[in-house]
Amino acid sequence: MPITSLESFLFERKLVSSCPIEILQNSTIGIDVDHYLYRIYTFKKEQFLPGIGGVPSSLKDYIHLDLQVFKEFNIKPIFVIPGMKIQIQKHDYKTGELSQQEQHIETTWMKLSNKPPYSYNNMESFRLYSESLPVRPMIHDLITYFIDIGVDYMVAPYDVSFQLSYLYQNNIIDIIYGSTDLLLTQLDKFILGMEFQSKDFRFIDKAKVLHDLSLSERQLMDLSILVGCELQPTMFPIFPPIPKPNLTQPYPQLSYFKMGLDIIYQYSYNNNSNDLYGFIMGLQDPTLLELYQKGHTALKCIPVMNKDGYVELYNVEMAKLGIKNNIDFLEHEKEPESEESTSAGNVVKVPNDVHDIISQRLPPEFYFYQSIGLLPVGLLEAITQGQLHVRPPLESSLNDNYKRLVTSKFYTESLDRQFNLITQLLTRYYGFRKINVKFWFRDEEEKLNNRMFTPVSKMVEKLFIQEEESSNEFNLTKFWTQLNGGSFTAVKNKKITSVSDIISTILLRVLYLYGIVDNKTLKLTNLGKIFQRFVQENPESNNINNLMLLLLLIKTQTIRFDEINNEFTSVPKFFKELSNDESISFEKTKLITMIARVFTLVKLNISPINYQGPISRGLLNFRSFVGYVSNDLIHLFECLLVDFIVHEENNDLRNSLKNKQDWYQLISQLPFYKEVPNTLLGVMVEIYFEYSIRQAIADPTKSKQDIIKNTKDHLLNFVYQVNNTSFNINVNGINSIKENTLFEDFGIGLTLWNDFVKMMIIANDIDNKLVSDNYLESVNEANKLVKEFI
Amino acid sequence: MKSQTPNHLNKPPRFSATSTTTNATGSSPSPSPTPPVGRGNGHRRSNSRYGSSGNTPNPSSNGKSSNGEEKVALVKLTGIVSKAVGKKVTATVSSGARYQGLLVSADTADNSGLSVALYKPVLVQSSPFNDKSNVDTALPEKMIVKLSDLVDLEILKLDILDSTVPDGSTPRKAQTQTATPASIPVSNATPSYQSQTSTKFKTDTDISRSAFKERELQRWVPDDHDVLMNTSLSLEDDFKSNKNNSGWDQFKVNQDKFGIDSSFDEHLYTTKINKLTPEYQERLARASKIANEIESLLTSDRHILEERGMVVDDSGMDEEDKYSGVDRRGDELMAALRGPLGNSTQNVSGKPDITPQDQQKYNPHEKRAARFHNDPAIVLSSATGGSLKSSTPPSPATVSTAVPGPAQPKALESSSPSAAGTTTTTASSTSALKSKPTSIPPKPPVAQSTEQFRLNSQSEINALREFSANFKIPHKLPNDLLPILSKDQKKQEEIIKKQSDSLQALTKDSKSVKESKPTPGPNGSPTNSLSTTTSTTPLLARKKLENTKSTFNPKAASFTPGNVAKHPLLSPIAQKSTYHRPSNTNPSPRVSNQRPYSSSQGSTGTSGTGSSSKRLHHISAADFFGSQSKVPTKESQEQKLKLFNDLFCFFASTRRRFREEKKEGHVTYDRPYQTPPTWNSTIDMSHDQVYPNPDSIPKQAVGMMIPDSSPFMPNPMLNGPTGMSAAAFGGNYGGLNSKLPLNAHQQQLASMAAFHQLQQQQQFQAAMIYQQQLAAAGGGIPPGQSPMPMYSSTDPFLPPGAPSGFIAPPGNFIGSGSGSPVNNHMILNMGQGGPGGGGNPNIGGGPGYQGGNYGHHGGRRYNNSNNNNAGGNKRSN
Repeated sequence: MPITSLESFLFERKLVSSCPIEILQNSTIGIDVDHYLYRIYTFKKEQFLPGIGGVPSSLKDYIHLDLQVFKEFNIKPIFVIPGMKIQIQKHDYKTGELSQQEQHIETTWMKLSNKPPYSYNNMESFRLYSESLPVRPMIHDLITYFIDIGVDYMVAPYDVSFQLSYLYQNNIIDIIYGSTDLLLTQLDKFILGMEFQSKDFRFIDKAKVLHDLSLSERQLMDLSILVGCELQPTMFPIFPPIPKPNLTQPYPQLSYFKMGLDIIYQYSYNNNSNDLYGFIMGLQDPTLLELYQKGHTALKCIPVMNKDGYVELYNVEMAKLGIKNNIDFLEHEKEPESEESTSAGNVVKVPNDVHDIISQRLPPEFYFYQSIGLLPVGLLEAITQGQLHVRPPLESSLNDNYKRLVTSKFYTESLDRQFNLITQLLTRYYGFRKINVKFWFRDEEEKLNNRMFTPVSKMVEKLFIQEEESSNEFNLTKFWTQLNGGSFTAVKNKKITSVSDIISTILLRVLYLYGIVDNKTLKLTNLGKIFQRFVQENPESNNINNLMLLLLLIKTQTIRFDEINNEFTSVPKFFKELSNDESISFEKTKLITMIARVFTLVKLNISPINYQGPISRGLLNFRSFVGYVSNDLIHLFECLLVDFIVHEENNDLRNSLKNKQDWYQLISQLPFYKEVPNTLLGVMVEIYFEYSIRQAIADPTKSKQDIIKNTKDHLLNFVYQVNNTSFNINVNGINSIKENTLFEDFGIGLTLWNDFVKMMIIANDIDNKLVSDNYLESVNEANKLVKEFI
Repeated sequence: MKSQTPNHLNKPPRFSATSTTTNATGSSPSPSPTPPVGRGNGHRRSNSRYGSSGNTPNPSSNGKSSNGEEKVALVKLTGIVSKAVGKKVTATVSSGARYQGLLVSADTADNSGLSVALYKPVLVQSSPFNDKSNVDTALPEKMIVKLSDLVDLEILKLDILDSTVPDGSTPRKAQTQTATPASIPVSNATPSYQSQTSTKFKTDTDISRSAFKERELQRWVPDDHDVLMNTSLSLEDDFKSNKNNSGWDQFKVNQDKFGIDSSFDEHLYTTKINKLTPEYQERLARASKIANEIESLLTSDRHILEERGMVVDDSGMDEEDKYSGVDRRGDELMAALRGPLGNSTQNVSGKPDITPQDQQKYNPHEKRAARFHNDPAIVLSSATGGSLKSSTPPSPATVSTAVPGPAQPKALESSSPSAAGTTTTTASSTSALKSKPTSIPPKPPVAQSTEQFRLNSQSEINALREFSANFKIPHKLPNDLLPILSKDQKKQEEIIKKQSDSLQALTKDSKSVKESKPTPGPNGSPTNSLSTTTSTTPLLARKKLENTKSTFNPKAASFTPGNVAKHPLLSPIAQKSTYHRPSNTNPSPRVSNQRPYSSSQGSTGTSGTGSSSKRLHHISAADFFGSQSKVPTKESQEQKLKLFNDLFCFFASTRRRFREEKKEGHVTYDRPYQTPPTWNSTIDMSHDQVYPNPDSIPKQAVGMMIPDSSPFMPNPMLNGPTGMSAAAFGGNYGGLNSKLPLNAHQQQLASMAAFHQLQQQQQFQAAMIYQQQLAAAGGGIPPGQSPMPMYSSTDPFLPPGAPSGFIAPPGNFIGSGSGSPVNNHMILNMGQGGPGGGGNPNIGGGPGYQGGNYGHHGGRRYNNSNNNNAGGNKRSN
């Protein structure tokens, strides 16, 4: 969140200048990923993203195109991803309280379900025009992509703008591409917008802005705190709320910054004062005064990672560079403040309660893990803030099954373990401090038991997998075949160095904690046996990680795949009805639901700029289940990995991973690292089978080929309108939906389905409590259905 | 003048009886002389209004036949009478009594004579036959004297404009004729105009156009009578101080002089202040505190600021603009876009000091100023309108500069020394306009499509804008400007030196120009006149001539001064500097901070270089990155990326340090548990202790903002948004706002801001706002609870009814119970053209208000009596 409403105001004041990109030739440019995505994904783009979940499928294409322009001019980008939030950025949700965006999603679903089908996709957006796409769920995907294409990146410890400013002042980068928040940092100019099409960019000269607005730096800070900026996002309630949208003004905006300017001009004019401190005091609200003071402290003391890899406060770092920071204006303005005394002492004033305002401090090692993407940002944030917020999933708050999942003993224990692993490594303070988990639907907070009698690291410290010939390629299939059980011990005098050994070892520990490897005998339990047998029978399968997720989900017993959840709408009938006559039996609908759910785990690689096709809330709900299971798995994995490195158990990874590239190689191969894909293939499959069944009912004599052909035509021409230029933007462009991508992905989904059926048969065979005969029956029925129409 | 009914109308015998006093011809020569000197001439001009409206008797019909004569007489009578309507007349009735009053109407319809109606008749002379006196008490307001009763009608002051009277030989005519040019000096200059428009309604603009010669004002000297009454009366004397001297008591004077017993009681108009109450002092203190607070409220209203004695940037505004004029910004632009064809044709080389613009409908103030200043800086600074016109193609002035010859060395000199093309044009054309306006015959306007004109002027506007950013004064700095620029003697010298340096450089330039003798523009096309002029500067000339075929191009590089190191788009301030303060040395933005308050004065020029931000400027990489050494190269890029990859890694840097210190053995990293959860603080204070003590900050100074977007707009609203926003805040709107409950003051600020925004964005009709406000008034503020506790309704200094006397808000607005005095106060302010000014008397207890009222009443009474008095004087004469 940049300084509220400043950007448009700067354009209005014509303080944004343009320049051709070629000037930036040979430069390194630091990019604020948050701002970058904000510029790409304007309100009009990806309006359905919160309705389908996942990372926007167009993301890679966009970055790819932009990088090509950079390449043309030999510009090297360094992407900086926002890190943890600080205390005053945190919003304390009340029980049941939804954020604006969450509320908006809820109402949009309501609207869509109440709409007549023919107007299904007209101009409803799941996105709030005032909010940009959240970056955090995309971090892992972005990092993998950056590593793939060899672009430098970094996850900032906290705020991006200040980290970028630090890079800039240290001549690591030549220029910054970021948001107006950069005006609050030490720099002279930055790029606000890149027009890759026209090959020019817009930049802002800070001195010019200050001069034109006749503001001192202090005043700009005061004003930003007043209207809200990234580090102090709460707008002071002296401003009116944005009027509700109406027909004439569908996206109302208020120029808060301009109003704030008026305040500051008049206040300083009348009171001969260079700041708004007196003004805030005059509001006579201690909350606001506190916000103001904390905001100022945050703006000055926000920690950044310095060149040595230590995380220090921004003003301390600036002082090291000899930049006399504007810290000393905290002195009363009227006190004679001699230049000599400040420059001689050069003492940066750091109050002794910074940790309360910004964040408690973590060891530099952990900030490093975060900066390369090895530790989830949310986890460290919960540790520093002492609280973990579990927010409702995308399909929103209604579903009891999902609540059951996230509050299940298994998963809260998993959280216990994660925090135990990390806090055990930290100073004792963290070990004693309880971390509270706050679920959005519950009043009381769950206190995590991160002080375990036997620390988790002790439990797993004996488990190793070391291959004779280890490689740097981790293979999940190979991993499962290795798990013959019994002896998971370290090879003496041989340290673990290879990526495959590292990941195998950690994954083994995950399975141990998950109970897939028995805690005493170290033999595989039923769940493990299922996988092992499956891998033995199907060594070629590529779907093992998806099957693992599905089976783990089945194990939670919170959702049965053929169970229809009536709370949520599925794909609207409009897209799958032949006519109104045919009615599909309930049984068949259940089967279709199961098929669609399994297919959902495969990504449909269509990437229109703005998908507006059919969506399903039911499938989104299912995706949330899978997503939670997957996230827990990777989080536990990451914690175990960090624990493994820090304890140096038969490894010297701190030294053996010599440079960042080595670390990148490790990260890029972490299993379950990416976000679960969107639901679109499931949606498509649901349409496919329902439409086919309807055809068969309408005309039993119709041949299988005819039905398949009709269905495909229906999908291509009616649902996705592949050839319709107005619907499928850029028919021939990079973002278009193409016939072959649709059915290729369908094919991939089909292999997953086939493997799923096989796995379910094995599972029923090994443990028919997990997958009952009845369950298997319906899987087989569903498989028949699939075979009938493929 | 005395005019009586014509005697030759034969029918009523009484008329013939009075005919002795009547002129036979019925026309004007009158025994009763000119009006009293004290009142005469000033008023005469206004009579001219009636001149054309009067009936004009036809001279050709005069004396043709007796019947005709009769007719003529009747026509004349009608004419005179019609002019006399509204004048004071004295009518003598058949009884012999004489009545004086205003002639309201007269009836000449029946060809036989006159019936008149008098307004507010006064008995001047009672009937000699009737001894009963004091009939005047029964006189009606309007008295109709019928034809049968009317003996004589004397019109006391009638001025017949002679031009309408056929025979011009009368002395009266001569008199008026001489008088007219004296009082209306403009009439000669613009005869056609006056005859056309004199009958129409005159707008302010019309009136202000005719250049008045002001009369010399004479100091008022009291005559003896007054001196006796008051020895020490002067205008400047304070009311109070006189009271102490028991000086002026208007009631007493009124009673003494005219026997009028005043019933005035100030408590009829205001609440009585009980000064005996024990709380009186306390209340007084509170009132003055409140007044103080109000006076320290923030405002951007220019008038209020002025009232408070603050310095407002009003340069470039004259009195009319400031206090009464209609905001005409944008007119020049419109005019320019329409194309100045029509105006240029008027420019017949006439008087040099009246340019054709003088005769246009309106002179923007910049131009007015420009005409009266010889300082080129001022002329140029106001060039947006003026130079635009003068450099527009068909104008002869511009053409004149385009012919550089020995005959015009001055023009050449002034046109050469500037770096920017437009400077030369404006400067030279202005000076040419002044010095040699007649030397060159006007060129006939070149036929050109209006569209092209529009485009040309558009591009010129752009050019001028750009120019204004880069302009340097090419002339010597006037000495009297120096103390304005800087008070420091040293700095002044510096400026002078700078000036003379650049002047020298420029004169060198111009010399070389003279040698090179640029030929006049290759073709006579007016669009090229500008580039031709610029060709006097050789460097630019080449560039310009290269693309002479193109029209004037505002983007042309010639506007970027070649030798300036920094690009204008970039800040002139050194790289990577920090800004503790605004770039000026003044710690407070007060003095330098003129821009915010001029933001409403037109945004065209204020943003300076930024005005062309959309365009791509050819900034070099060195400009952008600060210096050539900072321009990234491939090597530096590689280096930086390597740095990035090597640095920011805790392990790597530890290893590096380890190597540097050449320690033996295993690298040891900081143990994670060694890092405390706190940061290294340097001072033993919490963050809030760093701030100054709250008590040391003056809290009362907190103000609120008044939208500066439309300071003159009387808008009786503000309560509306209060209600709206309060409701909105209270509702479920905005997750973040619900986090913080509003207190009253914030609510008010919010409403201010909302109001501001509404004004800015939605442009609501006032009427709509009213409706809203009425709707919101019920729910917005809890009834009976004032938003600001300090203005509680129990305050004796704020009688509930008092504010409503100022302006008449809708009845239910006050009555709805939402009437917060504060908001009323604001409403008043808005209505009165600015808060503070109107507000102070209101809050301060109302004496000012009463005073105004009082004065008003007193004035009227006095006037009345004066009228009476005048009547009396008249009669005695």
